[in-house]
Amino acid sequence: MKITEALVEDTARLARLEVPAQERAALAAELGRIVAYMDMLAGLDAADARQAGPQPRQGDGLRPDVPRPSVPREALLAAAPAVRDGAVLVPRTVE
Amino acid sequence: MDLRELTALELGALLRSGEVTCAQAAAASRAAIAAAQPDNNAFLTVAEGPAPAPDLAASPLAGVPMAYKDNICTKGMPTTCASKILGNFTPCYDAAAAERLRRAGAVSMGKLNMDEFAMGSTSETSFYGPVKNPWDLSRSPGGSSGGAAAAVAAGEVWYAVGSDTGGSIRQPASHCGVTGMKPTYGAVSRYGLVAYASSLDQLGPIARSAADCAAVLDIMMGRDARDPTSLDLPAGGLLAALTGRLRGKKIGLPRQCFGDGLEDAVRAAVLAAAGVLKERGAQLEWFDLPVMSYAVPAYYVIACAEASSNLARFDGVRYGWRAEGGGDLETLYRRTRTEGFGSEVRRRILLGTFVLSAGYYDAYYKRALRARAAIGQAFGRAFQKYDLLLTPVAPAAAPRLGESLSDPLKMYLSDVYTVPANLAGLPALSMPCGFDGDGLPIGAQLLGPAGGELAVLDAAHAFQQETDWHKRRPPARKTAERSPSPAEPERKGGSL
Repeated sequence: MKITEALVEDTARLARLEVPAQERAALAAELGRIVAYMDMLAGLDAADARQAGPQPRQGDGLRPDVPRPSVPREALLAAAPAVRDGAVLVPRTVE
Repeated sequence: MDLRELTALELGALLRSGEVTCAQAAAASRAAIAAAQPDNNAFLTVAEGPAPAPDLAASPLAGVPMAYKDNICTKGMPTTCASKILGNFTPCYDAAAAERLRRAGAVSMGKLNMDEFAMGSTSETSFYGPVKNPWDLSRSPGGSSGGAAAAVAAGEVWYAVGSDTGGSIRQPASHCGVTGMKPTYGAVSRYGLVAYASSLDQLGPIARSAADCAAVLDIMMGRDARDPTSLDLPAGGLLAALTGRLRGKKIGLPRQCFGDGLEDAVRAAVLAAAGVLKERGAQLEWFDLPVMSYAVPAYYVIACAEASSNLARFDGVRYGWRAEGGGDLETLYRRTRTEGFGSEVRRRILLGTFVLSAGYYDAYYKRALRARAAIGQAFGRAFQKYDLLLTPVAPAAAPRLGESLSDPLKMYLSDVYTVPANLAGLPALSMPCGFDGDGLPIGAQLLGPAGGELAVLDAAHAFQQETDWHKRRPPARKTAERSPSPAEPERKGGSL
């Protein structure tokens, strides 16, 4: 699998990251080496292996759907980078 | 009496008998942290002021100073994940493990340095400077729980709680000459652990002996409804059940873990450990586990995929650091994440985004899931025949600082012996078993079947009754020998 600069740019867009143009070639080469190593997975004959998590689940893993106390709103807002009038501030998204 | 020579359980007993006070224990810890921090940079935040007086009857470890890896949420104390993007984050709640430990009388001395978001094997990717190995300050302590292992080895705290996604407890424990254990996936609630790879992450102890690890797990293990993967395993009783008896136990040694790439000193030390276990009555047998060769690629596909999803939440909106400079919302996201994450975290997010993207999902992610299933099934077959498995923890002792980051693939490959336990969800423990020619610690790994914590701990306990590797301490350094502390970014929270 060849990792191209265009693929790096497209993947970075999906990941909401920026990769400066001057760094793309080196990053493509580095990721290419890692992905080439991952390509060895194609050699494993595991078609019959049941896809599974690390251990069998007990029950459905869900808690009862009932309201319960949560963290106070003020405590959550205190962690936000920008707050005004009890709301988290973000750049304008609707003109 | 030098309290730092004691195990956590020994100190706990002295606290209960009144021979040592909690204030004396905390003062010894503070003094040790103040002396070691300029050298090893193990702590990111040190707790300020006296800790509340613990109920000494609450557990065998009540009153014993300890610390948390900095990806475990602690109410009112910064939790940075060693990242710029969480540099100003102070949680408003405790992780489930921290809740349980607090109720058991744990005295937290603060938060420990680590690889950024637990992504690394050397504790060098921390935004706040690398951790240094107390045995040789030019070496890495391993990672990602490098601060935890270094702090326990240097006698700054008697035990620490770390996280293990692909070996992040066991490998630094091995490199620092202490004992560390990753329990069965689901044995300890992940509520409040900042997620890296949710299907692989697990909390566990780093301490000075297997018995200390058993005592910590007795407190931390147990069902928690806030973590849907939490198991309803029997909680408590591990420490009381340790016997040190190995007679009749069958221990398998996978040939693939002792082949090419393993340094001679490590092979010799682990095989010597096997000999000790045999003398205690265990039956040892070589066997083949060829699927091991797929563990590292499967691990990095799955871990990076999950990381790319989990770390999507860090965008500068609800918590953490936000990039300045205006722009629209998408620009805010991109700039915050690009400037807030370090290069290794960005690399893994990109890899994870790639293996999950249209056109590559089947070729990488789906194949990795199949490999993971095959690895789990191979371990299942092995544990039909053996009670435990014995392997090295790492191919070599601690690397020199700066050696690993220039070649990420080489760093990933060094996880070859530890990632299989995470892929299969198995309990695994690292115990000191010798030193290499440079005087660096070497660790041996014991693995058990899911839910087999007691068997693993008991075998390590038996080994530690016969040997004193776990009692060795790094040499104390004189002030004049100390290297200058690294220039570090500003930290929030407690002083150092």
